[in-house]
Amino acid sequence: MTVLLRVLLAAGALLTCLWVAARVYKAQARVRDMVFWLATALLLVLLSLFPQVAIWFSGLLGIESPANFVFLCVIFLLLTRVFDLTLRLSRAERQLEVLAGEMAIHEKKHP
Amino acid sequence: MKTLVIVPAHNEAENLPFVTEELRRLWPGDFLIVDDGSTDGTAALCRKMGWPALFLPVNLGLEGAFYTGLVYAVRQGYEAVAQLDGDGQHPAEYLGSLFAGLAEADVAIGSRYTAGGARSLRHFGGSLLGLGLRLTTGCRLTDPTSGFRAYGPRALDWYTRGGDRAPEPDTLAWFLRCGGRVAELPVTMRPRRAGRSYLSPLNSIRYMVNMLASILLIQFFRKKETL
Repeated sequence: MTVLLRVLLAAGALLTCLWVAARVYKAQARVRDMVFWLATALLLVLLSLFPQVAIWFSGLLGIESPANFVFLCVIFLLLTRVFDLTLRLSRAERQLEVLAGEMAIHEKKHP
Repeated sequence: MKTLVIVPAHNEAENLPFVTEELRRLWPGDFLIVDDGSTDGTAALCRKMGWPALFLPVNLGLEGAFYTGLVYAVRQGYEAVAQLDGDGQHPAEYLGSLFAGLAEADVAIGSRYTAGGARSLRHFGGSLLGLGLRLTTGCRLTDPTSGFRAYGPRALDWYTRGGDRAPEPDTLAWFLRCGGRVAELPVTMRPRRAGRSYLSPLNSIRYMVNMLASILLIQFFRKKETL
């Protein structure tokens, strides 16, 4: 990895972290979602500062390129997030159906 | 001061007769059950018995039920509100002292541990959150997870502005940073009478991790709102 690439990665991670922090400050998403994104952004910063961690783990697992190890982790993390979002969207859709139904019944009763 | 006791209830049909009987016997003021989309006939029971209640058509969780109760209280002109859980854990005899605590504070928390109290895993969890609160706000609380609380006029206004203000310890951290005053008063609690709590061991750990992360990472950096 060239020095330039490492500097760019670190800068990207840091900017991401600042971006998330700005949204936290303005409370633009629910706390439990912000905890996830803040933790992920911090993890990226740490990883860009100490890539030895990724190199050590990939050596331990016999993965040839540390980049592949990082990809594996990030893809897994994203998959769990997408699944969690699917569950929550399904729940929200069901609730919307019930609420719309309740409103229609309410309007019929109290026009 | 016009006061309302809010009783959030999710599937508490077995416990509500006891809770309402005790409230009527020991508390002269108004109370309001907020049925959080129960599936065990809680709503039908409230209607049959004529208890004052709001019925949420879907299950929103404690935060949504609490918020609904607060908004109702504000619109009806109540100046102070107490939360008393529908599972029978919170003895109504302490409501008077909680409301009296509002003379010096915006939120009065009924604490199980002001006098030491029994040591337990739950107590340890509460202490850990208390440490997080002390580090970020400087306020010492012995029982931050207690849901047995009274809210004064300033807290009512603040908590009904919407957006992530669950009656939980992490909201308290933000409230304290905004300049809210919080006091603790000694209470005792009973074990829940019937049914099961949603706090299984795994859920308790998840709850603790989320609360600590929220107190240390989010609420500490969140923009303050004037009270």
